[in-house]
Amino acid sequence: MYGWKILLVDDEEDFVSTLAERLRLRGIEAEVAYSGEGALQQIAMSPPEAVVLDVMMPGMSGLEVLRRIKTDYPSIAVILLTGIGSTREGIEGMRLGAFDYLMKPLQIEALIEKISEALNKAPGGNA
Amino acid sequence: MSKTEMTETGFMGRITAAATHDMKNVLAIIKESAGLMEDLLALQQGNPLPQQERLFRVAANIKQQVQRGVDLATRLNTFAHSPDEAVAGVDLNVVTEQVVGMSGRFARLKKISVKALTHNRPIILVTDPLKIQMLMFQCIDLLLNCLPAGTTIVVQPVQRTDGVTALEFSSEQTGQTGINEAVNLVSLPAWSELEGVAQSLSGTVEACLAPVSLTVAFKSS
Repeated sequence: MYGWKILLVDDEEDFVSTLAERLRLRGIEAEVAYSGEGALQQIAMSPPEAVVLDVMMPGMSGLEVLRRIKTDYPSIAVILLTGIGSTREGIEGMRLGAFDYLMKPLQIEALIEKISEALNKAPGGNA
Repeated sequence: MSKTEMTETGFMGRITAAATHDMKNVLAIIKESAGLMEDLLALQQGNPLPQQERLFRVAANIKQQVQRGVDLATRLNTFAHSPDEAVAGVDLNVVTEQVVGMSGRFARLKKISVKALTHNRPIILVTDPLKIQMLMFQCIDLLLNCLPAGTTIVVQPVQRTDGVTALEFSSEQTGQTGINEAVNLVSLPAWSELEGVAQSLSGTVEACLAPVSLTVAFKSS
């Protein structure tokens, strides 16, 4: 049981809801948002410790969401999800303050390990 | 060419790259669904379902095939981005892995294997990124049509001390069959086409016997 509160953000609803279910089975409190705008609303209502954020979304891009999170909630750790052709955005995201990026499809163990590293290094990390 | 102009290859590349991105999203959903199936099966360990082990194997097989699909989609995406730039510095190690990967199916149909022999040190050639792949594929295709089943074609980029950058296509075979046919490489219609493409990239192509091989050489400018 990890006891973390995580927000997963991706417009691929089946992907993100299945991933959230798998994280919940591992004792992680995982919420989902299907857009950048929706993610920011959820963060405002109930800030998570970490956000796992797809960089390529319709509407507000993942990088724009990242900028706003890092401005308003600098202690929230952000891990980006990239696909083929969006590695450049992943690197740009790290420059903007993301902890790291992972390529989709991902290994759930790798994601959990990355979240753990991010929370340990975040200000007030509690992992 | 300005950014607003679109060539036919650029169009095809852009559409293909977008499709491979979507394909990977589909594969990601399949992978997570198989993973969830495994998770739920694992919860039943104390009270196993009928066929539980079989279901685990099915889920593992789905994940293996997803990985195969991801590799194919990644390769196709890289290929689709090839026409993004008309001329660019290309690492021949990377391109060799790419073209050998794309030639796999053609080789399997001929019961021939194609292997890449690459190096950790980059071997950079400033060239047309799409056309160099076409040239390499033409070399492999020519050999596939001349060499007997059971042969292995080894593709290797080489940086020579005289400043020449080369791509070597050698063959390894146990029997003697095929060598005589390979002697006639230069008389095949595909040969002159190959030479033409090599010349358009400021390269030359040579065929050798014993072992059968092709070499494409580029002098550094």
